[in-house]
Amino acid sequence: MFLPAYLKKRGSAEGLPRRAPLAARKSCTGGVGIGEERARRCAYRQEHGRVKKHRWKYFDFRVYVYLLGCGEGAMDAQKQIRENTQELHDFLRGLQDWEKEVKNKDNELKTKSQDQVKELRPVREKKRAQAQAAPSVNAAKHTYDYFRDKWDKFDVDAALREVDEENEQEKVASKSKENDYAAKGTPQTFSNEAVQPDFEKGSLPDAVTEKELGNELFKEKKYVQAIECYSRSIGLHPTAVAYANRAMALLKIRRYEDAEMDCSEAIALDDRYTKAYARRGTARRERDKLLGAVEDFEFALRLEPHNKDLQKQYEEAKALYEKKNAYRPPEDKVTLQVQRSSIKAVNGAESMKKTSSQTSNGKQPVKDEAAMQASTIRAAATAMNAVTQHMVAPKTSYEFETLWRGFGDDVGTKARLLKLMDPNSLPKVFRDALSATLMVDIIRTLDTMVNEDTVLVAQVLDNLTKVGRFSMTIMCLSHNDKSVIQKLWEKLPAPVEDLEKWEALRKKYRV
Amino acid sequence: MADARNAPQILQHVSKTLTCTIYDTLWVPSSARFVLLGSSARSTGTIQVYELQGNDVNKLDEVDKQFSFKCGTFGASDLVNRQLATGDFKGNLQIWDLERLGYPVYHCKAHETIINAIDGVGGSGLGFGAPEIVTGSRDGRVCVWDPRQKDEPVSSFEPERADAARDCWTVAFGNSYNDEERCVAAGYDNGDIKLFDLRTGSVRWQTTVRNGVCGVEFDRKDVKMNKLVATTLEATFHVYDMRTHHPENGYSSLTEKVSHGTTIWGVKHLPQNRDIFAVLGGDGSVSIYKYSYPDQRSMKDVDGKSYGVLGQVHLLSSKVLSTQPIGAFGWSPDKEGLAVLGSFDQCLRVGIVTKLSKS
Repeated sequence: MFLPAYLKKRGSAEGLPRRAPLAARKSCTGGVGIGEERARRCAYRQEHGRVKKHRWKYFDFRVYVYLLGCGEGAMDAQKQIRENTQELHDFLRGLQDWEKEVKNKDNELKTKSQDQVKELRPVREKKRAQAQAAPSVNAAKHTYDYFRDKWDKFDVDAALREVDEENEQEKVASKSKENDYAAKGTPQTFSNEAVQPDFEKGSLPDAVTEKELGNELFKEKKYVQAIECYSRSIGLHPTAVAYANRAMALLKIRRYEDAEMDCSEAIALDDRYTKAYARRGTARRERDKLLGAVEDFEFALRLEPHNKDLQKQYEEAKALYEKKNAYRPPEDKVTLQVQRSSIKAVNGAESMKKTSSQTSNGKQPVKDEAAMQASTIRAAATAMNAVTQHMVAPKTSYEFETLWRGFGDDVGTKARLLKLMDPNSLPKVFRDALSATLMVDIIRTLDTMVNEDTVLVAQVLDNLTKVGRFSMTIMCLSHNDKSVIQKLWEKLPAPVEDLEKWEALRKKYRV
Repeated sequence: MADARNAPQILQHVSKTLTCTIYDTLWVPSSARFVLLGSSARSTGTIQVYELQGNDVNKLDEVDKQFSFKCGTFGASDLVNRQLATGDFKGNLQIWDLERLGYPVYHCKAHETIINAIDGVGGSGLGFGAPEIVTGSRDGRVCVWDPRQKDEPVSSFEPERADAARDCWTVAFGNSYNDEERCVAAGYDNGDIKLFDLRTGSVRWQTTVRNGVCGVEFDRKDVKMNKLVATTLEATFHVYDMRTHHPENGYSSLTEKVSHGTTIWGVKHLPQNRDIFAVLGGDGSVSIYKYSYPDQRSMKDVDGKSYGVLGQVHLLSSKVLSTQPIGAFGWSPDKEGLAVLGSFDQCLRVGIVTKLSKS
């Protein structure tokens, strides 16, 4: 293996290029001549009886590397060392740069004003100061502590006394249970003396007994103590009934928020428990959460539809809610003047009534709706009357049609409209939007007018032909319609002059 | 002796012998300064502010106060007013402005006896929620304070019975990932580790380990809790996976024994990499460990409930820097690998750890 020169033992010439003879190489022997060296060695041997053990003069990292890297790894180790030192140098240089940078930043921050500090969240709400929890779950690791304390406190005389009264077991057991309660979320205010359940037959406290005791106290109106008993029961075994009972007791002492929470717990345990819903409804009502109250009572009613009390409470809650939201059902009815089409309106109202009674859902009174419908019809009728009083010649086919349809079967008014209109304006009014039905209707109306206003009728007929797509419309007429037109033409007396024109016109109508 | 391994090297950059006992050393955020809290020879408290300058440290300021200081934190202060919260041997909680160390900005009698540990969160603009300081004391109480509320803690977790109280040796904030959530982990001298939830004001989880817990820290305060490292007497530390909670068994853990066999005085996670932490040994050594995650962080047991799976922890590097235990250690939050250490041989050291970004 190649060894660098400095790692070789002093004096060894292995692998080295041929150098000056031994006698001349003072450097090899540390500055002492070879003869001198030999002499020293002899002297030493004579003195100590052995050859001087060679010491490594330099024990440094290079040797370490040599020891470490006997094999190809020596190069890697060297490389690693060099890398490490390089990294250290880099780090230190980086440190200097960083120092400068951070000092600048520091100075900037010092001069920064207070307003630029970010806004802070509000102080945390005070939670109920929780006791450190009861001894840890793992009994093996922790009970030594707990029992040791108990043992210290054990009073022998008292115990003897208690054995006589046969109450010792129960008292100890209940005390141990109480310590667990602090960690569970029980209401804050306890009465000054904790109520101990009295046991007659030496039974251990359990959830059911506690609950029953709570019920007893509730009946005696000792609500706070009842709450305590219920809390103990819940601590031992949480049930929906216990929560609901505690909620009831809380309601009695007007702690509505806690009552609502307890009811919610009860519902979480048993979502079909009617009483819990009813009590939560009451709690919510007292807290002015009326919508929630109505919902709860509704749900409770669904569970027990025949419960009269629930119904009453539900109605009350609903009344309160509605009153609060100032909901007023429509009381005033709009009365309108009915003049001509009153009969029609009434008929309409009656028909409306029939339909509304068929579709009513029982919520709204049927009469109201029908009355409303009747009133609208009456209003429409009045409007129509107004229009007929003051008729204006329509300028567009749309206007004409609306008016025409508005008149319904009132032929006289229609005739009046036609008289009002200038026949020469007809093509402009209709352009090419004269439907077959409308045309036939016009002709029917003309039919009635033919005796009085023959000239007008003729002019209208003439102008009608000038309306766009007239020939198409004529071709599309049904047999009945054609007979109507024919009747009209037969009624029309032929004029004395312009007979040809008349004939041509008639031909256009294809009759 | 040069190190030929491809591992982080722990080196002593500056060493300074002082005449006071050093109880805590902290970097002032966003600066090259650090604060030293301790007790002078006359049993009075001392706050000293140093600045790193090249290969040396300069003492910028020094004040003497009535009672010795035990611990401090910058956690609850913002970057503009970098205010130091301290706890002392008589149970006083004080907040100091480093520019005006004559009078505390806030002062209250937090506990009756020595405040063993303090931690702060919420101030520096990174996290969420209100700024809060938690103190743990020998009377077994863990109290959470808000600097804006005088004289009364915001939350307090007290032992049920005063005679059953165990000394609280260490506290740490964690799980502060939004404005409401926050947890406090507390370690006691009988090996209890309790996790208090500040949102509900209750004990969220607790466990007991074999020896007293000297140091406890979450890997990050302002994220959903990920890992918790608890160090104990007899050279043991436990890493808990806080992501998965099993209904019966709680959080899973792994236990690691350190070779020196002495107390582990504390654990500090590297601010720049939450999987690297330094563990302070009672023989004056600092050991850097790295945690590696398993392939699957949680698995289901026979009942279908998930439990956390721990990865592995391996020792990156270890170095004995002093003859006495290193009680105080602080990573610089601005420069990766720079740390300030204080040991009980009254010696202040500034240390460098290289290659942390590569490991």
